[in-house]
Amino acid sequence: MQSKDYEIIIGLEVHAQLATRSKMFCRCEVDVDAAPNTRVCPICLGLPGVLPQANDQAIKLGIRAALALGCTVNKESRWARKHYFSPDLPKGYQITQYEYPLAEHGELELPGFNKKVCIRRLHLEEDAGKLIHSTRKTLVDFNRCGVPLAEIVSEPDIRSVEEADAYLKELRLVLRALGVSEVEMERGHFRCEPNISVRPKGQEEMGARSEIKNLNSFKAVREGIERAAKDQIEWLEAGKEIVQTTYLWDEKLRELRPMRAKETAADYRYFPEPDLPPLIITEAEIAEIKASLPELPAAKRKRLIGADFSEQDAEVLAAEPRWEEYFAGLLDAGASIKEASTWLLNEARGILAERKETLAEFKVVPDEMAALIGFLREGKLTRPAAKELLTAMADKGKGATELMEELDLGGVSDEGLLEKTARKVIEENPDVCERYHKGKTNVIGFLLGRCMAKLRGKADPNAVREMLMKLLSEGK
Amino acid sequence: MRTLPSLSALALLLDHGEYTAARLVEEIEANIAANEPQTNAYINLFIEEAEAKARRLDTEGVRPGEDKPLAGIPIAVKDNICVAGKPCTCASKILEGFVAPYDATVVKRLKDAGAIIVGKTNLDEFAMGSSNENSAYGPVRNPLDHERVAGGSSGGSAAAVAYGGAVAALGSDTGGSARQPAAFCGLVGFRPSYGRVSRYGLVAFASSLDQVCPITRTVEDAALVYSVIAGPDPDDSTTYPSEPDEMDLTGEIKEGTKVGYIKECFDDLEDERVSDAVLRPFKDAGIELVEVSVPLVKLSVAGYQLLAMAEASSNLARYDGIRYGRRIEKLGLKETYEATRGRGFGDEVTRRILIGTFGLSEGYIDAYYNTALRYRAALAAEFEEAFKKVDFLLSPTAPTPAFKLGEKIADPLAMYLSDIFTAPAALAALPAISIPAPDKVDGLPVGIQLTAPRWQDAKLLELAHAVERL
Repeated sequence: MQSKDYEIIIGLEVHAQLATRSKMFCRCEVDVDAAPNTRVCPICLGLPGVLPQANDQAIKLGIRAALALGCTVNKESRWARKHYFSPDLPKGYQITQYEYPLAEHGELELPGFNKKVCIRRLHLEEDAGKLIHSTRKTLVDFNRCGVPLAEIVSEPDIRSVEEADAYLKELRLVLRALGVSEVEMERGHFRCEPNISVRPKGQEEMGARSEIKNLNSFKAVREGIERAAKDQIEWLEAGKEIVQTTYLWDEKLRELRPMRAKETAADYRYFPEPDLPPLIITEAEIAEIKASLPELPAAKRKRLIGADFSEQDAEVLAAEPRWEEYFAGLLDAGASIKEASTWLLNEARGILAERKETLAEFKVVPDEMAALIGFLREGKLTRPAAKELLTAMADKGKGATELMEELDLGGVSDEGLLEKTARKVIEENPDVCERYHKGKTNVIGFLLGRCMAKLRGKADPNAVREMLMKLLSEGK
Repeated sequence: MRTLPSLSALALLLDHGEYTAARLVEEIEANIAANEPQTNAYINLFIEEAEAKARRLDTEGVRPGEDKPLAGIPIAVKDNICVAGKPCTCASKILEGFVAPYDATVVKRLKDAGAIIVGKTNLDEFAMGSSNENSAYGPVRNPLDHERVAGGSSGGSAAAVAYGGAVAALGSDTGGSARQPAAFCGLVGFRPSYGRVSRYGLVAFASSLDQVCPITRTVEDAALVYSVIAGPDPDDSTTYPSEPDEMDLTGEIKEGTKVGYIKECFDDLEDERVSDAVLRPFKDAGIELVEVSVPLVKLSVAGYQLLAMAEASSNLARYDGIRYGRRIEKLGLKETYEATRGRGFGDEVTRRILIGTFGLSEGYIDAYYNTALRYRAALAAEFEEAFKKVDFLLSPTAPTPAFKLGEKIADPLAMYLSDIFTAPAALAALPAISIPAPDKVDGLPVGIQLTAPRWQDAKLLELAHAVERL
C-alpha cells in the first residue's frame, strides 16, 4: 500500500496559559519572565503545611473559553491530584481536574474545511516550574509554577496536518478574541501535544497512538505530526507492530525522540484533591459569562463575507482583532469599505510583510491613512504618489499632509498648469497628434506619458487624459 | 510532679494581678527542667523568648481579657504546626534544617490572643503513630509513669501539659492523635468538627482527616483555646464559612439531653474496668444511657488506614530534598530521590507511603482507596441514623490505658487498633472530645469520649463540661 491508502487520525491536547494576574492556587503575580524565583511564595513552592486557594478569575476565564467552544459547563466539577516526581513540581503532584472536568462536549469549526472538530473536555490545572540545564547542574525556576492553564482536549476527529494546523489557529483566535489567553506559542502560552495514529483506509479499529511533547511552534507541530504519521505508515508497511509511545520533539535536530512506551507509562495515581472543595458553578454565573462573550471569529467571518468582503479580507479581519480595529478606524474617518480594504489590507499589509513587522509596529494611525485616502479621492495625489507617501509615512511616522508637502508629492489639480503642459506636449509632437486625428486614438497614451513626465507624475492621469482629449478635439 | 492550675484559673489570676506572666513562665521553666530529661516532650524550646515576651506583657500591663484572652499564657505547639522563624521538624530527619517562614493560622491566632509560644513538642514522625515512639527525636514517656507511653501522635503536647511544661497545647488529630494521648495523660483532648479549625500551616498527614486540637487540663480550657483558634480562614478552603456558635458552659446537663453509648465500643473490650470507668459517672448521676448500634465502627481502623495512608503517600511526595530539608546527593536525580527519601523517612512513615501508594495505583485503587471512600460514606450515614435517636454518643477513648513502651511497636496492626474508637469520629468529620474519667485503672487515667453531630461543637463542649463535674 502507499501512504495515500492510510488514514491519519489526530487528536490535539492544548494547554493555554490563562491571562490572570495571579497564580492558580496562590496570590503570586504571574510573571514568568521575571528574575528567577522572585514570583514565589510558600504555597507555590509547596512548603510543608500550605494549602491551595482556587483563583476565581482563572475559573471565570475557563468558563468563558468553555462556553465559546460550545461546551457544557459542569455545575459541579472537582480538583484532583496527579502525581509524579520532578524537581520542577514542588508538591510531587499537580493539582488538575480528572474525572469531573470544568466543561465537556464542545466543538470547533475549522475555517475552510467545512468541518467541525469535537472537543472532549476543558479543564483547569496549574503549570510546573522550569528546569534550566547547564553542563554541570540543573537549576529550577519556580516563577511559572502554579500559573493557571486550561487544557483543551479534542476528540480524534482531525484527519490531516492541514486540519490540525487550522484547528490550532482557530482555537488560538477564539482564545485571543475572548481575552482568555495571550496565546503566544513561542512564549509557551499556547502549547500543543498531538496524538497520532494511522490505519488503512476503511478500517474501523484505531491504531496505537504516538504522542508528541515539546512542540513549540506551528511549524514544529506540522513537522512532528508528519514525521509520526510517516514513521507509523512505514512500520505498518514493514509489518511491525506499533506500540503506544510518547515522543519528545527535538527542536534542534527536528526529529522525534522516544520518551517512554506504554509498558512503562506513568501511573499518576489520580485522586480527589482533599484540600479544595468541589467547584460549584451556578446557572446565573454561566448566564452572566455567556452574556459577556464577544463576537467570535467564525461569526465575524460570516458577517464580513455577508457585507461583501472578499473571503481573504474577512479572514484577515476575523483573525486579527488589531486589523479589525484599524479597519473600523478608517471607516470612522470617512474611508469607504473598498478604500479601506485597498489601503489597509493590500498596501499597508504589503509594506508590513516586506518589513516583517506587525500592525502594532505600524507608524501610520488610521486618521492619517484616511487623510491620504481623501487626498487621493480629491485628486491631490496620484496613485503612485499615494503609495510613495504611505511608505514614507510608515518610515517616518509623520502626518500625510506634512509629508506630502515635504516630499513634494502633492498632485497638480491646477487646471491652468495642466492645460499649459498639455498644450506644450501637443505643440512638441505634431506628428503624433496627426496620427491621433487620423483615428489612432491610442497614441494618446504616449502624449499622456510626456505630460506626466513633465508634471513629475504628480497629476491625476485621468484629469490629464481628459485635458489632452479636450485640447486635441479643439485643435482638429 | 507539680502541676499547674488550669488555664481558666491562671487567666483569672493574671487578670486580677495576683500572678504575672513572667512568674508563670519561670514556673514552667522549672517544670521543664525537672521533667524534660525523663519525658522528652519538647523538640525545641524558646524559653528566652518566652521570658522576654512575658516581661513585655507584664510591663505593658497586658492581661487576659476580651481582646487578648490568652495574654501571658504559655502554650506548647506540636512540631507539625508552623511557627514563623522556628524549625518545623515533624519529628523527621527529612525536615532537618527546615525553618518555617510563616505562622500557621492557629499560631497566628494564638499570638494575636497574647499567648506565649513556649516550644514545639515531640510527636510521632509526621503524626503517624499512637505511642510517640516513631520520632527521630526519641520517644516521649508518660509523665505519670515513665515506663509507659504518653500516647500518640501528639504525645509531646499531652506530656508537656501533664507535667506543667505548658498551660495548654495544640495537638493534631487525624485518627485520634490528640484524644488518645490526652486520655493517656489524664487531660482533655478536643477534636473539633472537620472544617471548624484552619489547617493552614499544619503539616498535612491525611488532609481530609487532619484537625488541629486543643489539649488542656479542663473542658473550659479547651473551649477557651478552641474559641481563639476556630473559625473561617481564607487560607483554608475547607473551613466552614461561618463563625462558631456561642457557648454557655453552665456545668449542668440540659434537661432532655439524650446520651447513647455505642454498643460496639463496649462489646469487645478486653478490660471491663475501662468500660466501668467510662460508665460509672453517668450511672452514679442517674443519667440514663441509650444503647445505640453503629456496626461499621468495627471496621474503622481498616477504613481509616487505607484513606490516611493514601493521602499520606500524596502529601509526603513533596519531601524530595530539592528545596528544603535534608538532601542526600547522589549522581542521578532518581538516586538522589531514593537516598533522600529512603533514609530521611523512618520505618512507619515509609510503610504508610508504600501502602498508600499501592492503594492509589492503577488496578488497585478501586479495591482499596475507593472502597475505603465508600466505607467512609456508609459510616457517616450510620452516625446520622444514630443521631436521630440520641444527641451525643459515648465510648471509651481507647481500649486500654497507656501501655508500656515497646509493647506494641513491633506489631503495627496492634498499634493501629489503638485508634479503633477514635477513628470513627474523624472519618465522619464529627466533633469528639476525650475527658478523664474520675476512676483510674491500675492508677492510670482512662478517657471518656463524647461525640456530637457535625458542627455541634459548642453543645459538645457544654455537655463535656457538665460530665467533667460528675
